Amino acid sequence: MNDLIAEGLAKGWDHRIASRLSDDQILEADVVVIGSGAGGATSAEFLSRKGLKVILVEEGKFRYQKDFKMDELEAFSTLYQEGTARKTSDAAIAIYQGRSVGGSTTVNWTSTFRTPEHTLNHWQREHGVKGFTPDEMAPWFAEREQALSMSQWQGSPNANNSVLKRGCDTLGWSSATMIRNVKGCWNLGYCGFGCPVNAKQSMLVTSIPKALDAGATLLSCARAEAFSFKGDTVSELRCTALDEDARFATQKTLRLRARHFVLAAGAIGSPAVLLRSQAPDPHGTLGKRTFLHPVNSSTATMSDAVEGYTGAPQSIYSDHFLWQHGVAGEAGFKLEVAPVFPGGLAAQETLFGKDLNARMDKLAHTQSMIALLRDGFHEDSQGGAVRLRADGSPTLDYALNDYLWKGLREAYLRMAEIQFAAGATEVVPVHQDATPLRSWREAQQAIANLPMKPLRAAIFSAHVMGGCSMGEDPKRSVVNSEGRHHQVENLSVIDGSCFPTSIGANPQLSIYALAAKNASQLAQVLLN
Amino acid sequence: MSSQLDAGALSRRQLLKRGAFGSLILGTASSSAFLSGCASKTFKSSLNPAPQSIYQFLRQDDVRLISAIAPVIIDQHWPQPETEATQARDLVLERTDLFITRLGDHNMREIRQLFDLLNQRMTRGLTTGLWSPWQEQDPSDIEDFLEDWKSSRFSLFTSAYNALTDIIGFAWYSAPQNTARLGYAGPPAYLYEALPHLQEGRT
Repeated sequence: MNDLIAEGLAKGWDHRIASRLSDDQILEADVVVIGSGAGGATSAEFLSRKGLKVILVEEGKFRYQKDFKMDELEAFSTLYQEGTARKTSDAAIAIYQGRSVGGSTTVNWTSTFRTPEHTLNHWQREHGVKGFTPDEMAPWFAEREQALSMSQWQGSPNANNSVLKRGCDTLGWSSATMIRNVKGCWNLGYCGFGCPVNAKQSMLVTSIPKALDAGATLLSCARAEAFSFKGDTVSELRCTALDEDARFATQKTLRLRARHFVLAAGAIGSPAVLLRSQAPDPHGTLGKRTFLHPVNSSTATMSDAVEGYTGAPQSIYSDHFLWQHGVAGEAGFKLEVAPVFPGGLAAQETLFGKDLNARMDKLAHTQSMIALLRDGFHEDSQGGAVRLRADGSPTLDYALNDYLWKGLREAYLRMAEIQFAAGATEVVPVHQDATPLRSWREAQQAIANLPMKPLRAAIFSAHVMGGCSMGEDPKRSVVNSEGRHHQVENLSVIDGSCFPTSIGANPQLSIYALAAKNASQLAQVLLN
Repeated sequence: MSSQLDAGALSRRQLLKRGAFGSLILGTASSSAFLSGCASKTFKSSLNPAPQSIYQFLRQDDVRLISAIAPVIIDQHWPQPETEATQARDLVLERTDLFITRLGDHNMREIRQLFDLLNQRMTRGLTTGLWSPWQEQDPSDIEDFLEDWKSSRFSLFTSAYNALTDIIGFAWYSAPQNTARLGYAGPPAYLYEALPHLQEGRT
């Protein structure tokens, strides 16, 4: 198999591993981009292609096709933040974010949506965002869809996804086939482990190679610690070199100097760098309004085999309940399915003994449905706050309140309804106090009585957004609509942390399009 | 043996007592560890100090702890014959150790606190009701302790329960050799020919 990354490295891409530094080092460029995920890699591509010299800094290791072994322990422990153990500060919400070159794009499930028009209009109306109307964004979405081979999935949905479609069809609810960013997909089902066949058009095989071809430097295993300021400009970025597995700090440091800095470390990482830098924050907006699309799930047993560990992990979705109460009304949710691998299933269920055995015995017949709650659109949904622990590492406070619990309870209900409508013999809401339910009738009563409390309901998130909100009013945002920091002259934030609310859909294309637009504008400014 | 009902009532009463003490103890353990965390920002405080150990994180008493609770968590999927049970124990220890060392400084410090709490007689006794060393515990008493923590009204115990079952459940069921009879034996066999890199470095 051709591995374009191995080929690129062989032909002389400038990739430097900070672990191998023999001395502290100072590097200079036109632009330093922090983070190589959806926001950073896209920015690096657009800046490099215009002839600007870019250093792309990444805390994680450069892992690519040859490293993707389709093994749960290996993938989860090396490709995700905190080895998949990242959680909100009260441990009530598990947070899955990527942590290697390519960021979360290396491990996402390829689900692609344009930012919903409702969301874009809401930003303009309620958050003073300029230049992000559906019409203004359309060309950026189209450009990225083309560049990243995003098209509607032509294969049949796997059995896990078929349950969502069949249930919705039976109930007369809407559902649709997903758009995915794949080229020559083998339909294996291991997207979350890093694509073993380079079919996923993640940043690893698209924007990062383009940036490196255009002369960018990729610096891996380097943790961005903090900016140093001179007046209202950033003078340099201080980095710590990590060991070859990108786990622990070595004694070496780097200082990166540039005309401009682009922060793209994700919605927990970007606020963290600014907090560690004690960046100006005159209105207390930094790290605030962090959103998660809180996800709950429902596990069904089907009489036919589901084998949720095989086939494209997500190919069907339903937006039937997403906007049902209006944009700023009660919490709506998007319905999708989650792949079912044995380690992940065991970890998610937090059962032990005979209960755990019973669940695992049904592994091959297990269907897993998930609901992603749209947070940040209602006055009772202000999101969480990123703060620093004593050791400087970030953590997220995010309180699940009555507004969110109401949406999550409705989601448990609707998921069970769909699963029974699709022929499930048994449904278990993933919740410490839930017991197996045999019918929709039984489910209605049981779910109405489930205590909606942290650590009882199993909640997770794979979409962290906000924390460096964009907008034209400095009192309510951290950066302007072009991503330029309100108080710091030569600093932009270009990643999912700029979103003023959650997206209401899997966010990869929203981030790509935002980055393409704002990095292009930045390149123009820097070249003039 | 007294009736199940009485035993249940007793364990609930005990739980109330334990819960009150327990949260104080966890709080104390946390704040002292928090201070030591400040003093030493490096990972080294969390890693195994014994250079001859085959484990990077697990210490001798952690090995006894996991050897006692893993068979209770995995229950009927844990092999019975002695040689297989020994292999299972070695496998779960090896994978637990590897997994924990990749969770980052913060989580490693938290797990260190949890394991220390479960390993020291006084803190273990007050929070779990289990006073004897782990290797002498009856599996049914370990079950009761896990059930108590799972349903505790104190979130610290619930999240500690989640961490234990999550880590050990994942370490066990993420090994395809343990799930082949459940239907998942790892990637389909044909891929090993199509994708030679899957073979490399595989244990």
